[in-house]
Amino acid sequence: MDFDKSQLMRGTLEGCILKIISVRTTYGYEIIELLRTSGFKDVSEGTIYPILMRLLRAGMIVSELLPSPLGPKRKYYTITETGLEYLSSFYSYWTQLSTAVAEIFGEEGSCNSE
Amino acid sequence: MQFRMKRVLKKSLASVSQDDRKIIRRISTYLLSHHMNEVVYEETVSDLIGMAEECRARGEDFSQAIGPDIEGFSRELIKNAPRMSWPERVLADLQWFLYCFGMLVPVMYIVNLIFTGTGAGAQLTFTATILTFIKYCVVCTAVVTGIFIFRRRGFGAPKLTLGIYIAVFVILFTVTDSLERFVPTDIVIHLDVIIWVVTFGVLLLLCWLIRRLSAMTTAYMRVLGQRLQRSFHIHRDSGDTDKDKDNEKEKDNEE
Repeated sequence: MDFDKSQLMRGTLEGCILKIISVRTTYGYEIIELLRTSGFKDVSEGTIYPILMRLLRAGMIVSELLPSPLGPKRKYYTITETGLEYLSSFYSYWTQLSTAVAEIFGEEGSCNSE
Repeated sequence: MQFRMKRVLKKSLASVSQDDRKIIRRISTYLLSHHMNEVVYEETVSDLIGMAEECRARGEDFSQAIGPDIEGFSRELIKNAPRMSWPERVLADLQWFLYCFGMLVPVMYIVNLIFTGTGAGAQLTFTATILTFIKYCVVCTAVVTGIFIFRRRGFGAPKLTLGIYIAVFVILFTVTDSLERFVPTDIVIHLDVIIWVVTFGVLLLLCWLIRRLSAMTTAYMRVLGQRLQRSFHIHRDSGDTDKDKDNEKEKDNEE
């Protein structure tokens, strides 16, 4: 049975996108490029746009339309104080979680029961 | 009620390819039928158009960027966007009904004029039996509910909603058919077409105005919140920069 990646991806991506935006004000495609180079191969506009909307609605990021060299105006995103707070709690929980998962799976990442 | 997109959006939508336009239209229909806030809806459609244009400029496929699951994408958008408030929804539905009933008399007048010639020369007055009038009202209701079904059809209307609609249709037509027994056919009504059209026009305009103001209030409260946060963020950044500068100066002095 195939593993449903979307559930795990959703929460993780939210944190990663926030982290990217926290580094500098950026736009959708740049976020996708950064995510892809970091290893999120399947990421596209369709994946990140709803997440960006959710973050916007939650007040974690703010957007601004600025001119783009590729034609239409681009939406640039900047992290807010709420976003920074969320990001810090996301990262501390993620560290805790990844340690717990690594503990269970062991160093080799084996999932075979002994 | 949104019979059409804003002219600016329509113009920019025309600039994208036909395939991309189809995808955007599918998504926008879904968003509309699920009562997304009107202003946020326009913003979303504008974002999608921008996305399609950027994809084309980069030589990429917009459909691939959105992904094969358009329904899932639209659902995610709806989940994360503000919905219409209940007064907006009531006004939106009321606008549909007003539009349909507003069309009632002019359409009937024209039909009479074409097929029977009764309207000709009789000044702009619509004359019909009360039964015909009621039947036309029933047709209007059916048309309006049909529009709702059509708008939801994009990704399949919920079965319960469809069931309710069908039940309403059946009940309405059964009731209308049996009306002849109860409503006297000799009662005739006379309506001035101009007064009718003007009245409904004004009501429609008022409805649209109040709904638009309400949608803008909901959307701009969000934007206002964002602006406040942004100014706070900028202020914080500039505060940090000042602090950094002070620290650097102190270091220089120590050296």
